[in-house]
Amino acid sequence: MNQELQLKLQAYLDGELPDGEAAEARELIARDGEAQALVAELANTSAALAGHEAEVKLPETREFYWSKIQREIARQEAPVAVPEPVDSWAGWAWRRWLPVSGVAAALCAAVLLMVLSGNSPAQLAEAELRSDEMGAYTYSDQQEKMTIVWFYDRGNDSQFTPAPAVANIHRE
Amino acid sequence: MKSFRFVAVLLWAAIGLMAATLLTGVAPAEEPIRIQVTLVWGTNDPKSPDPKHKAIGAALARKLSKSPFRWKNYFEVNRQMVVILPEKEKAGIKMSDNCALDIKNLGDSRIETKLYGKSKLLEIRKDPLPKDWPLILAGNAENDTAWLVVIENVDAAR
Repeated sequence: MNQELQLKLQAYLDGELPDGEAAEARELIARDGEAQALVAELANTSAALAGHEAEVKLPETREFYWSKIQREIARQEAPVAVPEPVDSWAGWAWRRWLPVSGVAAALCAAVLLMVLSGNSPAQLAEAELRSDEMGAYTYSDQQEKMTIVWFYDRGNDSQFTPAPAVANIHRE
Repeated sequence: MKSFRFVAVLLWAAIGLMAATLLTGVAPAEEPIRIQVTLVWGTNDPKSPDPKHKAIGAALARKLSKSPFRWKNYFEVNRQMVVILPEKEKAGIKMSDNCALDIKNLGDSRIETKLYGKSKLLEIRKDPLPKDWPLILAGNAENDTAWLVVIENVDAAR
């Protein structure tokens, strides 16, 4: 017995076949033992299921029951609105402006520190050479903390050449 | 966001502390300044030909050893201490026959220095002179030696 025939017998048993096909099914069952066995098994199974299916009784009407479920689904899917806490102006300023002002103040302090500490004495120095025969280099050592001004003769005919004896040092 | 606010509070606290430090650290500028001026001779010779010369102090020797100068030895030729009132000038600080200085106290640990060589004005300069930050005026001398005038603030307020 093929599957199509089996389905037709099940439909017959459920009363879903038109009259013509139902008559054909009855004839098949009458003459075919395999068909009879299948119908008998299906009938037993149907009877067993019908006998043990739990019965649920709704306390209200079907429409009202489903409308309650629908309303609950809609309520859970709705976005949760967070209530704005009632706060004072000071609290608002604290939250909004303190972080920003803190960063701004830190930047100002950094710039101030750079201005105050970044200038070595040599950078703040002013110098004016008064002799055309002399030149000068200024060297500042930040680590060792000293400023050196090195004077040198510009020309060969300088009165300080050779070797300006400013220190009045003479070797024997 | 709470941690960000906490950091901001810390920043403000640090800034307040720094401002307080700066404000309390500012000393009145109108005070006399005490300056030590030393004429030094730099040489590679182990000894000075002048027995009056003596070795320079350890602190200055250490600074000069870290300087671009490459002389091996430095000898103190002359040393003077001057105290200068605010806005006043100490003129004619004679370091040698050919070297002299005028130093003016500009206040707030600043000085104006006039350097003379052979009685001729070579340079006028204005410098901050904090403690432990000497101003060294230097130049060549005979036979690959050098002269150095070391100007130090020995009791700067800051």
